[in-house]
Amino acid sequence: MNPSSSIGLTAIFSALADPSRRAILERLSIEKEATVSELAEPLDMSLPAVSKHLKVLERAGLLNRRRDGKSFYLKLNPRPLKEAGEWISYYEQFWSESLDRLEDFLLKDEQAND
Amino acid sequence: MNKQTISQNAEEKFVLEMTRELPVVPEKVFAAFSNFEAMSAWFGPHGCKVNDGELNFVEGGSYRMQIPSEKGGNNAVGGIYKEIDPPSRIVFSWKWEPREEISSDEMEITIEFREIEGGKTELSLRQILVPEQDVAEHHSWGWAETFERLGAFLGEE
Repeated sequence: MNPSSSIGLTAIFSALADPSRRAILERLSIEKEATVSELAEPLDMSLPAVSKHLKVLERAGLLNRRRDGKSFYLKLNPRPLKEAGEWISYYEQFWSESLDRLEDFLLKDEQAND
Repeated sequence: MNKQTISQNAEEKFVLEMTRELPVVPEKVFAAFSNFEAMSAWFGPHGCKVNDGELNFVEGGSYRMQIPSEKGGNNAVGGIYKEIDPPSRIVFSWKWEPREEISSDEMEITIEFREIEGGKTELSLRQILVPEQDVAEHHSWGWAETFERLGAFLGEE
């Protein structure tokens, strides 16, 4: 266990902090690939506004972009999400195991005082 | 009785919450947090042994706990005691010592001790995991759900 997996997490969490961006990610997790205008359609948002969100997601490493003729296709890159999940698990495990050890320590201390 | 949850607060930060039932009264559990000798006996994951540090257990005082890293070398975490209310509550900041590869964002931990039946204690731990976030509006779609849905996607690959 090592907290070093927190590289870039602030960027990932910032990217995930917006409901529209999460909607884009969720859609791409189902459809695998979509163009910018396809992604904009259900969001009730202008293309430039969607592009801004896509840039934030790309900077966090959450999207890959592919060009085919005049269209750009976007695809989800799930690796940073996995990294974020692992980072959270680190703390879950850190405290869960520390509290196990605390319990053992308290029990030994009780026995010593009996 | 023992449970843990990850949720998201109004500021979009991840919050880790854990409760544990412990077999002794709050005063004794509290004491295990109040000096370096006791705390170094249990602090850290299994197989981990605190090898250096100090603890100035007063409000505004600082602590530092050093544990061996898996890669060799050491990791050290430290912070300041923001609130000490014996035997029921401790609030402290949490920050890994800066290293190139480690994020040194500051977090906050609150630990509360509540006496329950039979001279036991319910310990609640709350850690705010991510300090710096875009301020976003509150919404109904949480982080946990995001990971769950995307987790399903990861599983498919």
